Parts: sequence; C-alpha cells; structure tokens
Amino acid sequence: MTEAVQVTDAAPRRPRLMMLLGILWAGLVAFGLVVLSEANALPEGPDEWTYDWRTLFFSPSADEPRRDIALLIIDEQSMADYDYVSPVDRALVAKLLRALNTAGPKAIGLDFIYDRKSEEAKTQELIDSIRGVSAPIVFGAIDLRVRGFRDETLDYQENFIARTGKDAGHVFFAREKEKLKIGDQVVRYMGERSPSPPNRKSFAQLLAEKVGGVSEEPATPYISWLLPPPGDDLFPLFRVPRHQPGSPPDVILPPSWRQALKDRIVLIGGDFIDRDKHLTPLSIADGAKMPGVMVQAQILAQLLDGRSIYTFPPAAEMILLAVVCLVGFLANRRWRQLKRYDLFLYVGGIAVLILGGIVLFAGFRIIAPSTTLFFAWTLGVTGGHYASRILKGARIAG
Amino acid sequence: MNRLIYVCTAAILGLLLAALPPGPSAYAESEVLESDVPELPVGTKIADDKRVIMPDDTKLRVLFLSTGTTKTLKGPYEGTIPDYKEDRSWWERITGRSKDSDAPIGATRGFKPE
Repeated sequence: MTEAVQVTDAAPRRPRLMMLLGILWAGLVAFGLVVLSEANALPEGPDEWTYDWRTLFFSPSADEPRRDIALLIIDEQSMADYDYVSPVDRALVAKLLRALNTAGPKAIGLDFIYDRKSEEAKTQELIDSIRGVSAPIVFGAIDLRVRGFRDETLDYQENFIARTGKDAGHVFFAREKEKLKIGDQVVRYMGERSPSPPNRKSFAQLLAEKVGGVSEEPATPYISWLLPPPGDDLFPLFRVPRHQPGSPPDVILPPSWRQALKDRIVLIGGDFIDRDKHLTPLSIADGAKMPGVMVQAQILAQLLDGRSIYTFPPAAEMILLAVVCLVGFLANRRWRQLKRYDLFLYVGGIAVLILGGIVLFAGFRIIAPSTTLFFAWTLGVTGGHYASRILKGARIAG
Repeated sequence: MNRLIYVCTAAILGLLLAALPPGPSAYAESEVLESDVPELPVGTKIADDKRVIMPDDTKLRVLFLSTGTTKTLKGPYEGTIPDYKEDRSWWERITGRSKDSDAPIGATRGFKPE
C-alpha cells in the first residue's frame, strides 16, 4: 500500500497527457492480468474466498424440498454389524436395489464404483439385481484420471459394466488447478467427460438424460449450488438403518419409505467419514464435508433445472479490468490532496468491488473475477500515485 | 325441474367446498427416521399438531408421510414438527457455530488442536 499522508503535487497539470498515461497503464495492466490469469499464474485466493462466501450466502434457496430427487444413504451405522465397510457389501446393495425396485422409482443412480473384485457370489447377486431393476439405472465409474490407476482396474470395471448391460457415468468432480500454492481441495466444478477410453459422460449428466431432463447445458463447469428451503431438507434423505446381514428387505428399506421414493430419481451412495467426502463452497463457514452422493444430487438438480453460473469471457474481463484500473488511476489523481487518501481509495474501492461482486452473483449468477479486479484496482491507484513522477522523470512534464 | 335445481345446487356446493383452502388434516403425520431424542425413537409416528420437546444437542430427522419430504431438526426445540425453522443468525452462519465441524479422520492422526 502506498503511503502518501501529505502530498505536494508539483507536477504541472496536463490532463490530456495524464489521461493518456492512465489509459495506457490500464490497458497494460488489464492485458497482463488476463494473460497471467489464463496461464493460472495468479494467486487465486481472493477469487476462491469471495466466491465461496457468496455461494454460501447468496445462492438461491429452493422454495420447497425437491420432489424429484431423493437420497438413500449407507453409512457406518448401517454397516455396524458387517465384517467390513469397504467395499460396501455387494449383497446389501443388491438387496437394497431389489427392495427399491418395488417402490417404483423414476430412475436410480448408484453412486458406487466397481473397480475391483469382491466375493464372487455377492458380485453376481449385485449384477443380477442391477439387471433386474425396471427403472433406468446408472452407476459410477472411474477412469484414467485416477492417480495410480492400473490397467487391471479398468479391465475389471469394464467387465463388470458389460455384465450388467447398463450404463455407467464417471463420478469425478473438478477442483482448481493451482500453480502458486497447494490446492484447497474444494469441489467447485463438475467433472468433464472422461478421456478415451472409455469416454464417458458424468454420472449426473447420464442420469439426467435418462429421465429426459437436460434442457440446457450449463454455460460453465461451475456447480450451481442450491440451498435448502428454511427448515427443510433440500433432498429427502433416508439412511439405511443398522441391521444384521441377511435381514429381510423390509428392514433395510421400510415400507413407509418406499411410498416416498416412488416416481423419484433415487441416488444411492455412501456417507463414510474416510471416503468420498468433499469440501465445497458451502463448507466455508464450518468446514463440514459433503458426501459425494450429495454433490451428485446438487449437480443433477442443476442439470434438471437448467441453471448455470456465468463468468466473464477473457475479452470482457479485459475491458472490465481496464475500466476499473483507469477509474483507480483517475480517483487517485482526483483525491490525492486528501490526507490518508490511499486508505480511502484502497479500502473504499475494494469494498465497492466486493459489493459489485455480490450484486452480480445474487442477481445474475455471474462470478466477478475478484483476484484480477483486486489487482486492477490497486495497480490503478498505485499507477495514479506515481504518474506525475514518471512524467517528470521522463521530462515530459515539468 | 326440481331435480335439476337439486343437482345444480349440489354441484355448486361441491365446487365451493373444493375451492376452500385445506384445513389441518387429522391424519397428517410424520415418521421418525433418525433420532437421538429418547422419547422419540425411530419409527415413531408424530401428528403434525403434536408438540415435541428436544433437549440441547439432539437431532431428529422425520419423514412427512403425506409429501415424502424429510426434515432435520436440531435441539433445543419445543413446538410442532412443521413449525420448526432452523434459527441461525448471520454471525452463527459466518462463524459456523451450531453446525457440524470437520471431524478428524482416524483416531490418532488428525485431531484438531484445542
């Protein structure tokens, strides 16, 4: 932050020259920032921080609980009487699918991956159950993007998928790529289509297509988070109760739940403390991680609603940055006679930028590029501060 | 003629009744899905007009049988299930108070300093 408690501006007033210098400086700053931003070489902290808070406070709230999507969760408590919790017992999932099938769901999303062997009898039972489900069903898959991926894993998975005769979608979410710091591991984006092979659509995309619900592709990969209606769960959520292995279907999926699952897209997934839990922008206040199946439900709801989050394309961002930088430059020239003008400009300017970011997001679902805006403003103000000296040094003025 | 008048009157009354806003149903109720309130174990049916008392640090998840939607209540709370609204101030939302914290993974390696 520049210090200029008392300034004696001895530079002769040449407004046109000063404006020209300001425009030149603003163009240079805007171009440089956009290039650095596109190269992912800027500290993304302000973007992520402001985006996450805006998401938490200004994302749309559902008017009422979703009637189209429901969650069926298996957790540690569900499996307390099983010998192991990972992988989730395939006989349990098979039984759950058979019970769910009698409820008449609109579609089923099985958010588990089958990339390694388990007891063959249980695997076959699960495959038979998947084949026997009358509703459209999609289950999860991984691909070459997994670190440490082995060919035999892919072979097993592809063989499993082939045996079911059903479709699988990849279960990936995307995080920020960071060059200047360790990534914050927060899920903010939907995962892109998987590379070939096997070139799969995402789990949520495939599921949405199965129910004919994708009206419009999202404009950007940003997940558009939906907040719950006050006092209610956003998605009806059912946790498979603790039970003995081999319990009848009515114990793991009581009859009263089945009516609630009828004609809904039911996502089945895990909520385990050590697996598939993710930080999201909604975690910013309390650090609570979200089970992957809930993130999938959010993406599915977004696709069904046709909601999008928008960002500035590079050309528009460059114009915006140039304007902000020039305003900062001129504001400095205008108010530099004030005491502590620097504080006034920096703090006031950034407050305006934050407020503008909130308005854009809350009103239009547009993400303002906080990092580049922050730099554009501060560089604009700083440029204005040194402009006279530069002109004098160059013997253009004075 | 009289028969026609009766039919028309009955039809108009029927339409008027159908147009009336629905009153509280005696049969509207919810079912407890998850609970750590000892008096309200899992499977309990609770009428919508019944008041429940939840001590501090307790949690209840219920299924509204009429709509198939669920609701999560956190104690302390005293009132009916439909009337529950999570009461969190802006400050609590910003500081994350009154919600879950990120639990450590494993028993020994990831604890949070006090």
